[in-house]
Amino acid sequence: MNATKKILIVEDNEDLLHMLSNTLRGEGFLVVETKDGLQGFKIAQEEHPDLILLDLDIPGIDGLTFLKKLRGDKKNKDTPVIIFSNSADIENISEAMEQDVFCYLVKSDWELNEVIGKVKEALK
Amino acid sequence: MSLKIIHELNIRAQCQRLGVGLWSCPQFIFLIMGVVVISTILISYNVGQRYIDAQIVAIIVLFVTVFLFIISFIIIRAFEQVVKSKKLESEQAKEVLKLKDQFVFIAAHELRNPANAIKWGLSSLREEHPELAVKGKKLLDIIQRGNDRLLFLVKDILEVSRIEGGTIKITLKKISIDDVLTKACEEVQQSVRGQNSTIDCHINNDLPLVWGDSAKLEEVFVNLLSNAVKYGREGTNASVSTEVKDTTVVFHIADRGVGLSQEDQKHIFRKFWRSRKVHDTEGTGLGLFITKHLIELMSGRIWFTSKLEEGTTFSFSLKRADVPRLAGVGE
Repeated sequence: MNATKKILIVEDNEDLLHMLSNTLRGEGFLVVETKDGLQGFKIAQEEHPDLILLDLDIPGIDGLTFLKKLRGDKKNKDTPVIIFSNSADIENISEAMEQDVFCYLVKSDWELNEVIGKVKEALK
Repeated sequence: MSLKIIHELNIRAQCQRLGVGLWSCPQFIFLIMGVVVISTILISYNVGQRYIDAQIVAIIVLFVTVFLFIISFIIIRAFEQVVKSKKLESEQAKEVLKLKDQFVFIAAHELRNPANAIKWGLSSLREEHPELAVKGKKLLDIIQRGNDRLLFLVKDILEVSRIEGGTIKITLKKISIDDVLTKACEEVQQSVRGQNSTIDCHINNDLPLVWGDSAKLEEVFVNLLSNAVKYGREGTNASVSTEVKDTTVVFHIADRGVGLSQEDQKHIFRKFWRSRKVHDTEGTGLGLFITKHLIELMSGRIWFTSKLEEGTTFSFSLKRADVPRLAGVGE
């Protein structure tokens, strides 16, 4: 039996954050939420989540900067990250992929249960 | 230095630079005024000399001269003010336009979060409360369709905003049409299942490579193909064909549909324009506007021919990548 996996969600939209956490908790995951990038980085350092769901358009520090900082942090160098964004901006996508992310999801293209599927995939 | 003086004396060039007619041009008016003033001085001197004492004549001429110069000065100043204020107006208008574009971009971006929340909320609702999903299926479907349309419209608005703001990124590469067209056809066939007409996507296999951006080209094909299917008459086929020319490859997307009236043809590439002949709730009126700009950004051209009640054929060209590189295309 695998230990319960901890997931950190960094998303500034209240409703989306709520839906993601609820569904993930329903699937048996431990979920830590935050709406702010700086806060998220602190949590990542202190709690070493098994997976991070990261929205790119967040206050504090923006998603890409967060990602770069994360990869610079020893403990979180290899933490799998799934990136969310509102836009399918090619530039953003390639910059994010350079930082080694599990995948990049454009919110409006994915249903919630498909996102959960990706989370499980990333945690295998 | 002397060149500058000569340049200043070239009245016609100066006036063209200001962009106004000769009679509205301050320099020209100044010249005319100068001629009027000098002639008035000479005439009044001559006339005065015959009838009045020389000294009085001199004083009169002096006053007349000063008077005329003052008038000229006032008139010239008035002109300058008008020109300056017009320039300011136009700069302000440009600034307002820029702010408006920025606003549209930000607003459309902001709309995406709530629209995504609705999308996920709906699917969660369906899953967590299946009995509701059955009893309220019709209403839930209405909400879903409305939201999908909203997301689609926001995506188009953002794209139009990027096009108008000049921030859209096109990467020109040598691409193979087959892959792009196949993907586009599949996508359209998926989404138009159950509609009136179908697509025939068969094209030559040995098409030369062209200069283009594959993602944007796919968007162009999807737009033109879905239009062709949407506006095609029941039981008819929309078809894609190609023509290889000297420096370009031309694509024709033809439908046998209702066609476009002369009046409609004038507006077809405009933003938010929809043909009144079609009653469908989808479509944003932005598709062709976006398509036209994307093609032009890829150094191509788009045109169409149409006959009422017979059908429309949209054609566009892209530059071949297998001929010697033309200046200004790709890298």
